[in-house]
Amino acid sequence: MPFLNLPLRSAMLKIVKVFFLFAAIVLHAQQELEVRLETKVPLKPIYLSQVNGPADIDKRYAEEMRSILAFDLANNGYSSIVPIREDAEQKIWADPRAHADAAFWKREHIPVFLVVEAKANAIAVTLNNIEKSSTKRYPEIALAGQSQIDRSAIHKLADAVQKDLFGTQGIASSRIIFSQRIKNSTIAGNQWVSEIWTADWDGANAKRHSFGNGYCMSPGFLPSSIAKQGYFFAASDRGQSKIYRGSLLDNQTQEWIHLRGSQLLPAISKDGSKIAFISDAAGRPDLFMQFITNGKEAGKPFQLFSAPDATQASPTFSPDGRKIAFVSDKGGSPRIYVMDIRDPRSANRRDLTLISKKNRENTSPAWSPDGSKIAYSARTEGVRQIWIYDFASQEEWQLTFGDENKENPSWAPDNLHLIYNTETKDVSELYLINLHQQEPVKINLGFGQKRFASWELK
Amino acid sequence: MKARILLWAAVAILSVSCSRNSSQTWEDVKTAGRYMQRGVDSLWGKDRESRMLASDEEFIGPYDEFIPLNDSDLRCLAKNSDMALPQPRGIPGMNGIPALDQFYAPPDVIGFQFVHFETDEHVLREKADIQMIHTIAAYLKSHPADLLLIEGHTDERASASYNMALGIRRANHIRQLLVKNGVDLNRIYTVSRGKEQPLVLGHSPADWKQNRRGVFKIFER
Repeated sequence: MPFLNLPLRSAMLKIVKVFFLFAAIVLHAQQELEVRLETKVPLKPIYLSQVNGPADIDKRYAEEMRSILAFDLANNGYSSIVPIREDAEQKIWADPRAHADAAFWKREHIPVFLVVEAKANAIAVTLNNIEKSSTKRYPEIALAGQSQIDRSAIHKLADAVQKDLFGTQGIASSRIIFSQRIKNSTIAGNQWVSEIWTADWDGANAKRHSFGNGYCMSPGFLPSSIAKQGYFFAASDRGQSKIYRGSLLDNQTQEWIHLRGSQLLPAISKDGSKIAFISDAAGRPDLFMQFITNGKEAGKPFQLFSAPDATQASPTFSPDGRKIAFVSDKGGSPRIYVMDIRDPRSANRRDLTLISKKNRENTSPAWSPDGSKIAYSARTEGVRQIWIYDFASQEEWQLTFGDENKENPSWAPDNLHLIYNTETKDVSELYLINLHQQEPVKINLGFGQKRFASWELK
Repeated sequence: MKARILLWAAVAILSVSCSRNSSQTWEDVKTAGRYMQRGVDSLWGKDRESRMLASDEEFIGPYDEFIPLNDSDLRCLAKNSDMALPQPRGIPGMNGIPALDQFYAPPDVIGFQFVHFETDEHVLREKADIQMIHTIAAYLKSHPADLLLIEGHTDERASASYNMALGIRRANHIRQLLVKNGVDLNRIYTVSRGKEQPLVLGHSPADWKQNRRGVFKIFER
């Protein structure tokens, strides 16, 4: 810089150095914050016997039911299933004193075993708790031969076993709602459609609920205070995206929120009194909230947050309905903020709390039903992973790993399980994970891209 | 001594920076810059955050369907680079306004082309794209009965939910540019397609660039 005099050059150099020093501090601080919490919890091993019964009974269907029970118990976050062993089977079926032979089970470190007996059009399960020296025989489950009905009965049995062993309410009998994106073969060009489906938590009993060949996204179950078997979603069937509600019983839908422009990414409060969404009614993707009374709009919606040059997305309510977490890139990159909404007229929106500090790209927050955590997706070393923010410790920690992008986490009612979808190139699949095991389990739902899964409310 | 300290600081900066890739570092620097700019703005009283209405009496302006924020930037249309323009009052598909699925790609002779965005941005920067906005504005002014639909699209890289919001942001930015060029805001509708309707299905930077687009459809009356 020969054209600058010495004091000016010196001043400019100092400014540049201070800037780089500031950047280095920011980057270094960000790296120092990387903490991985080990929260895996030991699981109680359970031995689940093979199906046995009279020789003249076809046991194949009963075996299928047993495999459902095995899945439920292996993924409930409290127990694991011991692989089938010949000596254990011998004990159960050949030795009439097996149930009393606690020494064998203790020696093999199996504190609990379940015996599955096939009967004529029924299945019987007995719980043997070696630790407590107790035995419980559950009521026989009559098998209707219809997968939807019989699966439901087995899931309820799994929840009953969990309650008896661990004192916690299981989620095996709950359902999930999600959208499935497929190529629209009836239209030329790259046109896609996305429809609403429900399924059991293990992916079985999948059922389609929208048939408009439209584009439905981000569905959720309605609280029972609004409608039993009700759901809501955003759809752009007629051009702009609007928020609808529907019934799983008759698959009828109706436009729910009436506002100019597009409405996206709806979320409902636990008590069903408020719905939050993103809308460009005012010309930007802003955060809005609408009060709901008797299932209908009550008054005008509130524009809760807007900022120039910023994009807002993905609201989620705290379970008490007093706060909203949402995504905004008002600071330069998408991060998750929490806002108090107790009185939307007088709330001081300058009091936004930033909770996602470790990663730059953060999306799709989901508040846990007990209010203690927020799960979200954050770009981590180039891959979007699921992270957890814990309000008690005010720490963020990484739940998932691997090279597939993961997003749209949704909590189960037990505050332990999450469902999320992967999204890598043209593939999107749903995965279950729980905070105890932290091993994702893929839900097999067939063709199409499965996304925006949301758990049934309890 | 000072020079030595600064030299070591520079080495430390480089070593920290090199432990991340250049893209991440650049993003960090941009983010830090934005925070610094906002800090400087607030020193001068230009706080960009939103503020709530204290009462219904404060409610003014064109919004009658919702309780708006009391943001000065929402009303000072000419002063702000990011104008907030309310969506058209009429509901598509009702009262003589065509449903948005009746809008169609304009004939080639009109000369509308897609416009394109940089990664995670909603502002048009290419000269050709700005020129296209002028072309579309001129067409709409010479056809005062026609309506326009703008679709905002993104590439596949960010999450589906965020991309839906970003698509809205892009479509509304184009709408702002057209209004600045004299087009009646009540003739322009916006939708977001996020990354849901890609133009090309590849996964290269060139494919992403093609998909980060604004698409125009018209309804001639």
